[in-house]
Amino acid sequence: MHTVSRPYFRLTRDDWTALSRPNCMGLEMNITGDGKNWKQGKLTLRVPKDASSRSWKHLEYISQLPSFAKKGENSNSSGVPSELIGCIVQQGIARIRPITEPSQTTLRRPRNDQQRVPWPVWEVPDDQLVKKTLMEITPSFE
Amino acid sequence: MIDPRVVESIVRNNTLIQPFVESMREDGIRMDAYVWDNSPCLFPGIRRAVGGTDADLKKKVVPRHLRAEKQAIYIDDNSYAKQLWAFLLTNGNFANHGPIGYELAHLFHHKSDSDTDTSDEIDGLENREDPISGFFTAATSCAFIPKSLARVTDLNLSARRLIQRRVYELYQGACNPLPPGCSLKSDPADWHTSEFEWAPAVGYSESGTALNALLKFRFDELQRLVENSNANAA
Repeated sequence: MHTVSRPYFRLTRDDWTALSRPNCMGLEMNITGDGKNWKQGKLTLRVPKDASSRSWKHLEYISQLPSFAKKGENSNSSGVPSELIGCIVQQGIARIRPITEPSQTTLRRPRNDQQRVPWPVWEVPDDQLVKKTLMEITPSFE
Repeated sequence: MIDPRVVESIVRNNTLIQPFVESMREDGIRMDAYVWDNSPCLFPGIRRAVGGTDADLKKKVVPRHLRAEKQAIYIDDNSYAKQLWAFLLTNGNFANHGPIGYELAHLFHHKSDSDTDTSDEIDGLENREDPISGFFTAATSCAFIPKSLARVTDLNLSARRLIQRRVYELYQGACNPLPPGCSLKSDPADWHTSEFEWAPAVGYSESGTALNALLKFRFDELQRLVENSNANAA
């Protein structure tokens, strides 16, 4: 997978080319806080496939630490604080790579890399026996 | 029922979702109906649809301007209550079917249009404005039971009070199953838990892999729903 370091967040010609590919669902940015301008930790943002400009207003959260979960007026429609974007611009800590699978799958897939297993098969009691027993225990039960 | 060690882990992890809880509170949701100290609630802000009044919003994110009115960020059918079980027992999120021959039973009333009277089961709810919506996805408040017993756990007071006492015995060391100021009603005629044979608790594994996947899913879902509501209001 193509990964590059950027001095600041800006989509390049290669990014637009990657976005235009049929199997590309968007661009993903991994960001590491420096502990000064932003709390230490990592989070992932996404530039959606239908991004129409270079504006940070198109960034969406994918994952984040709780310390990043700030809300305020200075955020875009996905809640990404503008201060965070400023931090990315100043610190040059954005890394961008194409996402080649549906974002919803990325969001919902368990991170344990194990296969889903079928539900357990538990013994099912006999309906009539249950009803008879309940009538004996509690005659008022219908 | 779910293993108490799983419940302990959920309670510890609840500190990570506190920013979402505060965000919901700021939007006018009375969160004490969902969470309290050492609460076992898994998805605060998500409640079951109430017949008649929630039809338009069922299985939808509640827009921010309606959150205070609806007292929720999402109106669910019954899916989120099953996520805990699906992750722990099938290693993935709930896929619209459960174990064959079993149904998910809610062991405590969690909505205003319940079939039986909550005051017959819990003391301390008299002055509360809201139903305890947190029971809907609480790790201690649901169990998969044989279908032949489903109506019993819905409607038979003796059976309900028996199972509620079992909940308290099993989980009181792991969490606070009930909100502060509330307690289970007791009566000399109550059935005793010691006179019944109980299935072993399920869902715990040493690796904790499935539980960690559930907690990650929980965090992502709450984040998505909270932010989606924000987007609706923008």
